Amino acid sequence: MKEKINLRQFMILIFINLLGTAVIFLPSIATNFAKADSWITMVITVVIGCFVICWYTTLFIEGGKQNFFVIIEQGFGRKGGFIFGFLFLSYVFLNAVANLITIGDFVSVQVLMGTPSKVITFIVLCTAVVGVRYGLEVIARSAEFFFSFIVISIILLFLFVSPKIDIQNVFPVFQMNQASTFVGIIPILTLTYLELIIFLGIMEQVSNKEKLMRGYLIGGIMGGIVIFVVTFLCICVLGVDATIRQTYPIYVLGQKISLADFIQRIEGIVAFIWFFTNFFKICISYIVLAKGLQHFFRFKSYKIFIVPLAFLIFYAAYEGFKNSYYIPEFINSTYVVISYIIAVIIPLLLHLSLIIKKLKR
Amino acid sequence: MNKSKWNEKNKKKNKLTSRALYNEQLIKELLGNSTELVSKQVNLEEEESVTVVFLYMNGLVSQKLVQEIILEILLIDIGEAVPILSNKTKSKEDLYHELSIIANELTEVETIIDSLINGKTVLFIDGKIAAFSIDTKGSNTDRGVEQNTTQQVVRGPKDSFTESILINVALIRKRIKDPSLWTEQMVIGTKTQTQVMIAYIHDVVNEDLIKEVRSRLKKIKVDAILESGNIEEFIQDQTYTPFPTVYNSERPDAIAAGILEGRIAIFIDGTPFVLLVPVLLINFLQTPEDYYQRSDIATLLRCLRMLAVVLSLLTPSIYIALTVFHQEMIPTRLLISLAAQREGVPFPALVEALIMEVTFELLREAGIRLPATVGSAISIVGALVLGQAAVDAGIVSAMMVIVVSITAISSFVFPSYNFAISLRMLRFGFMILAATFGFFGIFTGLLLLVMHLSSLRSFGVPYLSPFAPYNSSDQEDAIFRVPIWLRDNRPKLINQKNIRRERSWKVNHKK
Repeated sequence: MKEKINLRQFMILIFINLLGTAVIFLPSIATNFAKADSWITMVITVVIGCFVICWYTTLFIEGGKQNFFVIIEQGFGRKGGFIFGFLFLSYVFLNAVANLITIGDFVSVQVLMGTPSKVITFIVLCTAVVGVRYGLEVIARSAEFFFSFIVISIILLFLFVSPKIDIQNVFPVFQMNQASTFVGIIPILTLTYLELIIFLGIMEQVSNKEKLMRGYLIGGIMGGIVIFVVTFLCICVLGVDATIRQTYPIYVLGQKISLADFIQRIEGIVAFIWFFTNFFKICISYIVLAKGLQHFFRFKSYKIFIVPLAFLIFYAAYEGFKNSYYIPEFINSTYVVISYIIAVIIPLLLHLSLIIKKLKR
Repeated sequence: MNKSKWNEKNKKKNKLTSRALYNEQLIKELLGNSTELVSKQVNLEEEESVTVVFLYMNGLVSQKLVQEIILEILLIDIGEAVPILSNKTKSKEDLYHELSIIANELTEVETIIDSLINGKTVLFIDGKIAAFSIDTKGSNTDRGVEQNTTQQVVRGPKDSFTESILINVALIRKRIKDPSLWTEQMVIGTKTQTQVMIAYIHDVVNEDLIKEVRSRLKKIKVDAILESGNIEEFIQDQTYTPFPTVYNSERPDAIAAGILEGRIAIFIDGTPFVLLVPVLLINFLQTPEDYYQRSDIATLLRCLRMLAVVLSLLTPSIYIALTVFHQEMIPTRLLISLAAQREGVPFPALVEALIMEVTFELLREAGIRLPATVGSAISIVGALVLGQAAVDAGIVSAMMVIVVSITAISSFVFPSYNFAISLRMLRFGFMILAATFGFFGIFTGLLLLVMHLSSLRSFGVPYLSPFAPYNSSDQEDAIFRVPIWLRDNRPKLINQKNIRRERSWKVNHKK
């Protein structure tokens, strides 16, 4: 029996994936470029992101609404498909590893001081293995279950932090850094909407494909709004300088909470939001990775790849992580290049070749 | 090989003859001369004496009924309007005639023994190579319908099921007077021959569900079924899970409500606990009383139970995580007082919590097993072990006592005992996770727990629905309990046909 997820679950997964790493890194990266105008950068990113989403959906429909790896083989032929498919898979692999590293780093630096990040990585990976073995349906359902809690936590965070807002921090609006406001879009897009290309790998399992675009867009816009609000709050509450200086500005945001002298420092909320969104992000990458391997090696079940992949991912996370400073460095340089190659150029080529093949017929 | 030969030989031997006394001896031998097998001989007053032998199992039959039947069958009725029995026995032909109306003729020895065991009276008559069985079942082992003991309510019917399957089914029939309430019977257990009945409303229930239940019940191959728990273990979807995927209740109104929603009830003879499938996680947090109280009260109580789930599962682990790893999250003054309390305690928080939790679990278990007369002893001792004395002795901190008490109280909130046990088990896992990884461990545990829950199914229905997969129309009876006149639909995932409930009342209401 083929596992199916419904549109709502798909939408929630998109939302959660957008928040994943983004919610914790983006404020600092965006502010680094655009300073007080980084919220404008966010707005523009969301608008561009919507176009990206529409494009990915059209690509999926153009390819005949089937398994993305089949679409790749259709577009590039058997051998070409193999090469490009593996390029895509390596990107997915990188994504899984990077998310795992950030989760390990975040927890060991901010939550559990003294616990080596490798241990955290290992625990999260083991949990992910359990999740992926249960399959996409279970992951989607669990995400659906946690969705309401994540939304409630986000709203609580906004509410609790709102008394600390100092609107003076956003002024002057769009007076300085005009160029870098737009330049900032480039790395931010890679961390948010371009990562959604991974979802092409599971799109064929959505039961209601007619309204696919709608679910994709709603999830994308919802996630975009949350990221925008978080950035805005960071600038307003922490100020530009502090936002840039902090690796995890949103966590500092949580620490600022103080209500009635009792509800203080509930950065646990932030940790909750971030841990859960990031976990599901890892799970989705992991499952797409396993499914891709299953397709290219023509296996009946993807479950056989899960444990070997876990070793690979753990080793990559173990060796790839040098120190905390390496992560933003990586995000701002190598990752941008890789992202644009895999998530823009390859789909573009694929789309072109699909159209050409269609015209030939 | 050997066994089948023996069976064959035995079969040849176990043939009825035309002699009633011989047949009696045969049955007695086959039942191992059990003492409760009662036989009575009567000779018919005819030219050559014809012997009639009555056999029945003492205790399984109603004595009064047997006596009446013996007299009524044997003696000539000389009354006109009202039967008045003379002191003369009937002739053989009249007897046959009478028996052909009220009795079943049996020729197989096995079926004769079966009917004896099922509380029937068996007659052998000279000159007939057969037996007649008359239903005289009326055991005095049945207790009457009494107040239920496991799921108490403040408001609502107080009756409960009994050990007799027929009374149980009748209790349901009394509530649902609909011809489409169908029952099916089967016998499970080669030795116990336990009667099992499934009941459902034919035009509401999902056909596939009935088929599934039927096939799962038929697959059971076991010698003994003593309680519905035995059946539950055979038919549940997954064995290795701490969560129950079959609902059981002693309350006829709960089972009737389930049947009306399109579920299937499974009655088992010999136990007052009736099973209901399929069941969702949320059903274990609902009581029948929710529907008898006003809807706002019921909703509030359900929210309270949700809170109780979180508290009974996580309170000790959150305490451990906070005191060991995340002191910065505790408000400063509370932290100082906590630190002062813990100063004299020689154990780490996990050990402290484990000591108290295990002590409490021991007390609870002891409380269940203890006879009521010594029950007060346990509460005195319990108050010492879990109370101020433990704090004064310097073994645990006062805060820990409060934590354990909160956990204990909230684990008594659940209407369903087996669900409370699952949470009790998981709590220890969470405590260990919290002691090793703090909140990170708790989060990981929650993820694993929710993933496990969403992988569960009860007869094909996702266990976590209507939350995951989300179903907006079923939300009206999940956490919220909307007023009954607003509740139009039966749960969607359970039955696909005849989803709408009748709404005539609402029309009247709106007028």
